[in-house]
Amino acid sequence: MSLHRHFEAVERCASSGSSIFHRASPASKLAMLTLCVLAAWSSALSAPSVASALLTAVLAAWASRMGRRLAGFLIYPVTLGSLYAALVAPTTNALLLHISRLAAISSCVALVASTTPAHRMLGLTAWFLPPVVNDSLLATYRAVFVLLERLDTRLAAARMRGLRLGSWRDAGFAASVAGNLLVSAFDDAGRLSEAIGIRANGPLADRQPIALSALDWAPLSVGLAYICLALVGRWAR
Amino acid sequence: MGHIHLPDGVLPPWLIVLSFALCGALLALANRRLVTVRGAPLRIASMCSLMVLSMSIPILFLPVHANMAALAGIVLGGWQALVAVFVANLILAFVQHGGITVVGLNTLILGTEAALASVLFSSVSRAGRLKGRHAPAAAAATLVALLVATVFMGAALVASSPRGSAMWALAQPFLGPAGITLDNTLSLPAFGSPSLARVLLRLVVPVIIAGLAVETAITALIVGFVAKVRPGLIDRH
Repeated sequence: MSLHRHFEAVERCASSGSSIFHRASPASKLAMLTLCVLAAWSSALSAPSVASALLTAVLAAWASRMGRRLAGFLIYPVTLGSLYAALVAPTTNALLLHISRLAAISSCVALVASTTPAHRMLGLTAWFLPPVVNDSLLATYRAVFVLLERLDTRLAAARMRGLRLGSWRDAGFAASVAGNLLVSAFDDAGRLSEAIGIRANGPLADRQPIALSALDWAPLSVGLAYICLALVGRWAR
Repeated sequence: MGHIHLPDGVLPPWLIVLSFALCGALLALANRRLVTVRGAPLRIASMCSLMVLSMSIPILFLPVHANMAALAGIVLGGWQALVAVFVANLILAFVQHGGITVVGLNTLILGTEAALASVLFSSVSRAGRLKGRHAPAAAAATLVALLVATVFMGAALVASSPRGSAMWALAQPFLGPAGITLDNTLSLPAFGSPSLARVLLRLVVPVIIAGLAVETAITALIVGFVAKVRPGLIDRH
């Protein structure tokens, strides 16, 4: 599955789901992700680490309703990570620890991304990213789908004229399509910038208040479960 | 090209913390410089959305992609390109194209590439033999920037691996010509898979060289196209 399809699948799952993870606040899910990363790094034995990975993958598949698409989402990081781990792991146990660690964190990222709509996440990132960076993040997330649609239109037009994209001969055409997209994106940016200037708007993405609710018990409990599994691994060593 | 596809859980914690600290400091500096620049987030988003699209499209049959960081440096200048690189990496990390804990290191690598391309393009296209010839100037600037970023990426990967692993043996052919010799304990890996390391070395080097050539050509073609249809976009720096 190409990354474009990943974007669409993640966005659809995040916007249309109604699981407890969808309703929990982005702050609690970010806390869960942080605890998952810390637990993955502090785990010393592979068995608790494998348990963490399985727990997260099952939760991600259930909450995000991604089903089999989750496997497509995880195959890329797990394959590359396993290749790297095979080069640096001294023992089989260490190799298993590496792979389960990366599977746990990757599943947790999938869980957070596929249950949090982008606009809710951007309200949270405004607290810790500088304004220019957060505004760029928001504007990019809007622009990328517009650009994707334009790219599809231009490629369809090119195919109808008989061009075979993918050959070296068409590299010049591909570059002109990319250049054309770049110019049109900058034109849009100029127009939007003038409109914002006239209206005297402030930052594009406003901070949203961080308020925990009763629904946040689910991500926070999962985060604590990671830490407990990591501690069990440490004590059992 | 100079972009680590490694997922979370494989880089050591010291490298993750150090890279995020450096990246955070640079982004804070970029924010201070850009906060008064009108429309900066929108211009960054225009470039960034093109980067996100290009990073998700493999180049022909090669398992690599153009990341357009050098193009971002040429079009936006170093500071805006740094923000664009960070945002592109963050968005891609949420669809598991590179880990979320690797965003800091990836931003530093691609930020170096963008800054270098920006400086080189400005100086080469204003003076010397390539004065006013945008496409060849972009090709020269991109090639040097890509080479530096690729070396940076390789060094980061080797430095983050345990000493004595097969990853150190993988670096031996590159360190030798530079006059650096590893002692026997390091050149003969104590752990990891040396045969896998040898196979990877034979596969990775040609792919990297082909990727460098293709990204250089694409960047030069795009800059040539933009110079014809909207020269103001690249003449500002």
